[in-house]
Order: sequence, then C-alpha cells, then structure tokens
Amino acid sequence: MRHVIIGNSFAGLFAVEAIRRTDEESEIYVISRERQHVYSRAMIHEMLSGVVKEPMVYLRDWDFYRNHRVHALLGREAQSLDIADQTLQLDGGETLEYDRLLIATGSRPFVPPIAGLEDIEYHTFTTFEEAKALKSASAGQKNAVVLGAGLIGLQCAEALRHLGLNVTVVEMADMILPQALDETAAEIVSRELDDEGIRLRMGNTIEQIHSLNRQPTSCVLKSGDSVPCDVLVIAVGVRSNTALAKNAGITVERGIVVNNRMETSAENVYAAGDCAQGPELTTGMTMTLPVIPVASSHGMIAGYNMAGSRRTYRGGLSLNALQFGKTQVVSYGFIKDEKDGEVLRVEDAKRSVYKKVIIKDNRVTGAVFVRDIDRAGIYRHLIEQKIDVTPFKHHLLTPHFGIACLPAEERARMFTTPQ
Amino acid sequence: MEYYEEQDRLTTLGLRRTRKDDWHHGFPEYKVERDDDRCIRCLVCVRQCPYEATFYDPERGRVYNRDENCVNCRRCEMMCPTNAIEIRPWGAFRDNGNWKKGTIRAVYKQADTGAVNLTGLGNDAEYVSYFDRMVLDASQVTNPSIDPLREPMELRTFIGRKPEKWTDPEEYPNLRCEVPIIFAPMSFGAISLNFQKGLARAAREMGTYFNTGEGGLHPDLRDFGQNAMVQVASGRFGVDLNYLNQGAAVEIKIGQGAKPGIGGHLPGEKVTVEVSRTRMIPEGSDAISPAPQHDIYSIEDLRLLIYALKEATEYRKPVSVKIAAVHNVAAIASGIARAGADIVVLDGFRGGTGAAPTIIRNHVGIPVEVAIAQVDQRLRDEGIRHEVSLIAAGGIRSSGDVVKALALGADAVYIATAAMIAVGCTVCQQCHRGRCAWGITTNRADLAPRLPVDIAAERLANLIDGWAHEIKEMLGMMGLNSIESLRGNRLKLRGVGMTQVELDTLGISQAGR
Amino acid sequence: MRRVYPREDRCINCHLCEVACIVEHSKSKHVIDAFHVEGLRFNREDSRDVIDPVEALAIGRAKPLNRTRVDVVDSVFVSTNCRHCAEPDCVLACKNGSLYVNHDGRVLVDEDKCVGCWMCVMACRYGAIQRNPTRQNVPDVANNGINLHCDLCPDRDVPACVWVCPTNALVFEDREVA
Repeated sequence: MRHVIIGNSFAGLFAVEAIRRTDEESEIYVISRERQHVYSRAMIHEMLSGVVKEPMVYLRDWDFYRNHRVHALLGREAQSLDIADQTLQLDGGETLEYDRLLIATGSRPFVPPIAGLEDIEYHTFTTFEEAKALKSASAGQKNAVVLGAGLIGLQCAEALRHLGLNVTVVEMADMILPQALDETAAEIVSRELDDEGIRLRMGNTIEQIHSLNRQPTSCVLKSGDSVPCDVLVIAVGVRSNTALAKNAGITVERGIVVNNRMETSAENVYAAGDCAQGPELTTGMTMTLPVIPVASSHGMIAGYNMAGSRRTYRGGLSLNALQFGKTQVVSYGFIKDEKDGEVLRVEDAKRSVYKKVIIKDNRVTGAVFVRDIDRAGIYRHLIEQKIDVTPFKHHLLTPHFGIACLPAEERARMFTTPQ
Repeated sequence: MEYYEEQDRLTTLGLRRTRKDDWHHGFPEYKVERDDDRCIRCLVCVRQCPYEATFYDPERGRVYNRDENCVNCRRCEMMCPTNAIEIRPWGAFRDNGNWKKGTIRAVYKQADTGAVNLTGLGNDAEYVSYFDRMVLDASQVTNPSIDPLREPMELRTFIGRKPEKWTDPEEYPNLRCEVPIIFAPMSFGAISLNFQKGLARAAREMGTYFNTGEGGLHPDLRDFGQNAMVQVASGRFGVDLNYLNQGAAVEIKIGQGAKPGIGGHLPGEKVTVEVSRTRMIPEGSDAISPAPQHDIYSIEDLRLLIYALKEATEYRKPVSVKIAAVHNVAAIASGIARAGADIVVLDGFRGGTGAAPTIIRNHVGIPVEVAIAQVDQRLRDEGIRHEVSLIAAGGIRSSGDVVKALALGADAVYIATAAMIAVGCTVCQQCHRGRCAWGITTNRADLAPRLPVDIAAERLANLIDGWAHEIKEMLGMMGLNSIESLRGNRLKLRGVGMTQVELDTLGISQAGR
Repeated sequence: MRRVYPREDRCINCHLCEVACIVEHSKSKHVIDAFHVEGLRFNREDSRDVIDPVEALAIGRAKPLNRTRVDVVDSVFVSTNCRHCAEPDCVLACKNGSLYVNHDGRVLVDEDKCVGCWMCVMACRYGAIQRNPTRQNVPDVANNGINLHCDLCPDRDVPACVWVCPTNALVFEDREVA
C-alpha cells in the first residue's frame, strides 16, 4: 500500500502520524513545494519579529521523517493528477503511483489587482520563505503598509512594528478580524493595536501605489490621503489551493469538497486542511475553516481512513486563539450571528474583559472571550456536543463556571471513562 | 448556599456587638488558634467548617474565625495539611463548684431564646460511672488462666427466648450473634445513609446486627435484612408488613436512655428527600414521635402488640422491647418478659441521641449497670431469666465495659456512641443541627460524602474485631472460655470506692473480699 | 493506561488534592516551604479582580500551580484534571508541536518549546489547561507563560492527589476496554 500526501503542514503531518499508528508497513510519500522541515505557518510572524528563534517554529524533531519511515520529497511540486490511473505527475517528469492520495495543499494568498502593484516587489505573508524575505526587505526601512486586517495582516503588522517600523494597516471592512471577532471584541483589540502604535485605517483600501526602482514609495488610499510606504504587504485573504484537484475533475467549490471521512469525489483521494471544504458543526453546511485544529483533525481523520480504519469527523468549528499586545482572545463559532439567539454578555471595560455567549435553541452556538480565557475550552465542549444549557444557563459566564455546572451524565461521560 | 456568595458575605470582619438576644454567643466557648506561619491559605478549614466559624479574607490574604460559632467539632484541626490549628476553650467564669460554665451558658441560652435547649449524644454530666468502679477478676495460681492463642474462645451467643427443656428450635427463634456486641438503634435521618450502610456491612461481616432505629429501612439496605433489627417506635415511621418481614428481629421501642418517657425528635432541617421517603413523612417537617405509643397504655396492651407483631412475622422472628432504665426497672422488665417479649433492652442514662432536650438527657434515668444487675437478679429470682435475653445499652465505651456488663447479667450490649467515634465523631454534641462536620449525623448533600461507606464499614468492623480480641483475652484471663460462662457471673467482679448499698444493688463484693 | 478518575460521591470539597499537587511540583516538596518560602499559591476566584496570571504574579497574588482543580457548584464537587486523551484536542491545536503524546500514553508539554499561545487552552474540552506565568519562553510577548496541566506525577507510584485524598475520591486505574 502506498500513501501519497501532497502538503507538509498540519494536515499532512497528522495524516502521517495517523497512518503510522494504524499501519507500520505501507509506504508514505510526502511531497511539498516548500523546502523546509515541517513547520508552523502560525509561527512565522514571531520568527519575523525575532521574538522566537527559528527552531521554535518546527513542528517535529529533525528525525521525524526517518522515524516514521516517510519519503519526504521537499521542494518538489505535484503538477497534475490522474484519478483514473491513480498517478501523480511531478515536476521533473516523474510519475508517482498511489493507492491512497491526500491533497493537503493548503491555501495561497489572494492578491487583488491594484494600480501600480505590478511595478513593485510586494510581499505576501504565508510561508517561511516569505517571512525571511520580508525580514530582509524591512531591515533599515521606516514605513510599512499592510493591506488587510485579518489575522495574517495584523500579525505581520505587529511583527513589523516590533522591528521598529511605522506600520499602517488598511482594511476595507469597518472592523478588524471579521472572521474571528465581533464588534466589541474588535474594538478592544483595536485599542490595543493603537497602544502599540499601529495605525488602523478602516473602511478604506489602496487605490494606487507609487514606486521607484521597483520599491514602493507611497500608497494612495480611497479616502484620498497618501501614506508613505517602504514595504508593502498584501494580506487580504487566502484561497484554497484547489487547482490540482479541479483539473483532475474532482468536485471543488471554495475548497475541495469532502465528506465526514475526508473523502473527495474521486475514489481513494482525500483532502484535508485549508484546501478542503468539510462539514461544519453548528450549521451542518460544508465550508473551509482555515484554522489549525481543524486542519490537524482533518489530517488525522483522513490518515485513519486512508489506512483502512474507518473514522468519522464530527465536524469542524471556527476556533480561534490569538493575542495582540497584552490582550488574548478566544472565540468559537460565528459570534456575529446573534439573530434568533439569546445573548449573554459580561463586560468590564476597565480591565478590557469581555465575554459573550450566543444561545440558540438552548444550545451554545458561538462564544468569545477577551482576556479572561481560562477554561474557555469547556464552552467548546458545549458547542460541539450540543449540550442543552437550560439547567445551568445562569452559571454560564460566572467566574466559577466549570465542569460542576454540566449535567451529571455529561460529567460522568467525560470523567469516568477514558477519553 | 452558593460557595462564593458565602465567601463574599463573610469577607468583612465587621464590628461585633453583643445583642440583647444573643448572649450565649457573646461569650464564645472555643477559640480557634491558627499558627499563621504554618497556614498556607489552602482554605481546607474554610470549606470543611459547616458552622460558619471559619472564613477567608481575600483582601488581607488570611483565614479568620467567628469563634462564637465554633462548636469544637475539630474537623478543621484534622483536615489541616500543616497542623496549623488548635481549638482551645475560651475564657473562664470565676471558679465555682456549683455554677459551672455549662450551667451558666444554658441559662443565657434559655433567656435568649425562650426555647427548649436541645443537644445530641449522651449525658455529659458528672455522674458516677459504676463501670469505672468495678474491676475484673484474673486467674492466678489456683485457677489458671486460659491462653486464647491456644484454646478456642467462644464469643458466640444466642439472643432470644430460651426453652425450659429441649424442643424444636424453630419454636424459639433466636438471633445468632458471633460477638456479643450489636449496633444500637440509630435512625436514618438522625444518622447519614452512608453511616447506616457502614453499620449494616460491618454487622454482616462480623456476624452481628444493626438496628434501624425509628427511621424505617431504606431500600438500599434491603439486602442487609438478615442482619437488621427493625424498630417499631411510637411514631411508627416506615412501618409496614414488608418492613417487619425484612428484618431478623423486630424491636418495640418504649423509651430510650437519653430521654426516657418522651418521644423521638428529628428536627426538620434533617428531613431530606430520602429521609422523608423512608419515613413516609413530608420533607422538611419535624418528625416528632409521641411520648407513649398511643396503643400501649398498659402491660396488657404491650402483650397485644408483641403478639400482633409475632403473628405478622409468623413467629419466625424474636421480638425485642427496648426501655429506658428508670426506677423500678426490674418490675417493668419482669412484666415485659411475661408479656411475651423475647429480648429486653435496657438503655441506661448515658445513652446517646440525635436530639433531646438537654435537661432531660442529663437528669433522667438510671445507670445501666445497676439496671442490668437488678433485672438479671429479679428474673432469676422469679425463675424466668431464660424467657428473655437482656441487652445492656447506654454508654458502653470499651471492651472492658462490655465484659463488665455481661458479668452483671447482660446477654449482649448495644453500642452507638462508640460506633460513631470509630468513624470520626468528636462528641461535639451538635447532632441535632444536621450539620455534622464528619458526615455521620447529617444527610446534607455536601456533608454526607465525608463518611464514605467502605471507610465506615471497615472502621466499624475493626472496632468490633479489636474489642472481640480483647474480650477473648479477658475471658482467658478470668479462666473462662465462653461468653456463656461469663453471663451473670458476678463473682468475676469486685467493687472499688462504692458504698455497701451500691455493692448490694450491683450484687458484687468489695475488692479484697 | 492508568489515569486519575474522580468519584463525585466521595468528594468532600476539601481541595487537598490541589495542595498535594502544588507540593509535589514544588522544588522543596515540603508543604510549608512550598508555600512560605517558594511563594507558591493557588489560582483562585478570590483573585477575580486580577484576570491575568502574570499580573496576579506581579502583585504577589497567585502563582497558579495546581494542575488539578476542584470545580464547585452548590453541592456538586468534582476534582478535574487532564484526561490524557488518546487523541488529544490540545495536541491537534498546538501551534508549534510542543504538546505531544508520550510513549507511555501521557500527554505532555515540552516546557522549553511552548510559546504560550494558548491554543491548547482554547482547545481543551475539559478546561484542564492553565497558564503558568512563572516560566516564559517568549518574554517579549506580554502576559506570556507556558502550558500547565497534569503530568500524572512521573516521580511517584501513585499521583499525589490520589495519595492525599482523605476519602479516596480519586482513583488511579486503567479503565480501558481491551
């Protein structure tokens, strides 16, 4: 049996481990365009700012591939896929046959057309190499502009600020982090970024980029004013890398469509991670959820199914844990969607504490915690297990909320049996 | 009460001002001394104190006490992981041989409340203990002792009516008791279900019995019916045909040593959902048993009830009658034997209770030592000693007391307070409040788990086991090898420091004579 | 694999398990020195006015180092700690692979690698992970710290919490069906 995995990040990694837990014998190939040892994309901003050293970003030890008997083809690209013959065409002309294939190609940054963009060396910020490039490019520079106030954009902005540049973030929406936060939480984090000296230009976008010798000099915003710019980062969003699958005839929407076993429309082909569009728990719809825990779970489930151990994924959830300045935020589900729901909130403006829970049909469908994040994970359990919160609703956002509030059968299920 | 609300409420030290209706708290009885160098602010003591006597002040980062609430249950002392706590008596009234601290405080309390002072456990007044004035014989040269490690010692005895001549044993149902120590009646409601289960399991393991008291038999204890004596008291709580037939014996409770002549009392705070179901009474309501059994107004009525119970149980179970030891107890016991009882239980004035008026507990009744001696002698004189077994109850504290009680004439003893102490009781006498810090005399959901069933069962079995071994040693020491040889064997006892009348009443000689 | 399982019917809300946990993971392993000399404390709701473990540390309020924790609501008491799951949510969420499943089945954290991102706090459905501010691998980030959760007391035959419990409300046994 030969397993081939395209992609060397979280999804691919957990797939490898799941396959090996089930099956010591089969061959495993990992192919990745990136040359690096398996690393965490979520750590590159810390590598950029210098707050961590490079070894911290790698997800496993150096002997990981050897110990798991993985043929790692790093710096190679899978160019086309034939699902009938079950073969992959690699760069350099090789053909690789597979028995099971996992497409874990992740996502790539979306670059919108902007006047003047094609004249400069602009940066995107999703890979190790891009982080290194940005680090060199910003050495000795004064002004940075980041287009996009999503997670990637803001993390990049914070890192550049830490390096001493003046940073302006330009965002089309009225709030930062629209995927992860609601208005109140966004307001608190914005204040934090403001304290750090990062300038936020919301409800705005770049209309024109002026440059000299392929280096940007300034950006003209829709609002009319001009911002000096030595370094420009485009971080307006990512798109799933679905070309390989689409060209092979596999069903693709926003991402590669998978069922709850991570199976695609093609036999023996699985997809996982940012490139996949899998079931989401609270709505029952399929969607791309480009967050680490979902990618890891996808990869693990795909790996088990590839190795013959039938496993079902209970469904993904939008899960976020982030920190800007001294403000930590944890959020679950769709926290802007309050329609038809009951909302419980606790706010303490003096200490920048904000907690909110959205309840629909007696079940929690979304929750956000700012600064007071201890034990937030229990709310994840409430959401995923769709636990009826009526008996303990009054305890929900109190300081003592914990396991003791859950119904006795649930406590017994969680704590008296091995998990 | 919600834990953190409680903490908020107790945070401020506040100004203490003795109010006109609270003098008995004005002079705290106990002071909780805490070595602050050892206190690690773990708050175990705060969480364990059910009397609101301990609290944590987060602003000062220290544990404080409301000493006026401390009842010296000593739970905090035992639980403190650094041994930082000692509870001491606080203050003293001027030395007075007549007006002691307890007497003075009782007057304060009565003047504060206008109510009857209640208390728990047994008579704590300084009356003589005849057990402590009797000593046991030991064999020396002329009558050698028996080595219990080499010779079998029989502790087994049979409790019930004995025939005059050999006959079909079925006609004379007896309780087979492997050791002459039985767990005394303690009702579910007065005690926790865990404690009662512990008593039941220990009884089964050691081959003896426990008694349901007047609280009925909880469904969880049905399996232990063969080791249960089921009690029919004046309130008739939980009594139906099933109940009677589940036990190994049925006991009619006329009175108890702690409060002779008045009925049982379970304060409403202690009537939880489970208690209410088992007793078949409304939750939260006081469970007061009437003083007399209202269908027993004469000895003839007693005979009717005894035989009604025998009919109901098809004459397969011995019927016991429990009375408090009072004046004229010998005549009463004789009447009871003739009324058809198979067992007579004499509960002396040291007997414990879950709740009784202090004044009655401390001033009514007579010592079980003299009661047993008088009853045993009277029944022998009348030639009817074989018609009943006698059980001595009321303040049996050790195997020494057991042996002395048997030598005075008892067939077996009941123990209750000793059993409670075995599982942690510190005799703080607050049983009636339903807040027992040790989980023994409360069924409150947050307190009852403090006494787990298997720990209770193990400790109780250990107690019986230890006493049984000591009794064997004492038997051998006296040159006896069976309980049967000890029963009523007054020659094995001698008195010290008693008057001639006392010696005569007990039927024993002066030491040295 | 043996894990610690709580018995709610036995728990008496004393929190001695938390005390034992702190002492076992202290340097001195002595109850008084651990608290009075090393300055260890409990992470407690009375530090409510201070949200952050690091801030709490700064004003001397708490060094939250009890890895097991008794949850209390009304008369329900449960001692909760890491379940050492077979497929741990925390490992699936860990940003840089510092959380892992050890060869003996325990879920552990590489204390030199953890960057205090708190993805694990978000992920753990049992609320078993706390923030330990006494160690920081990324000091430039405010309110940093590292993961703190039960390690099943590797230096003991039986975990400290199980050993100390006065009513045997914690059992250490293998409940896996073969």
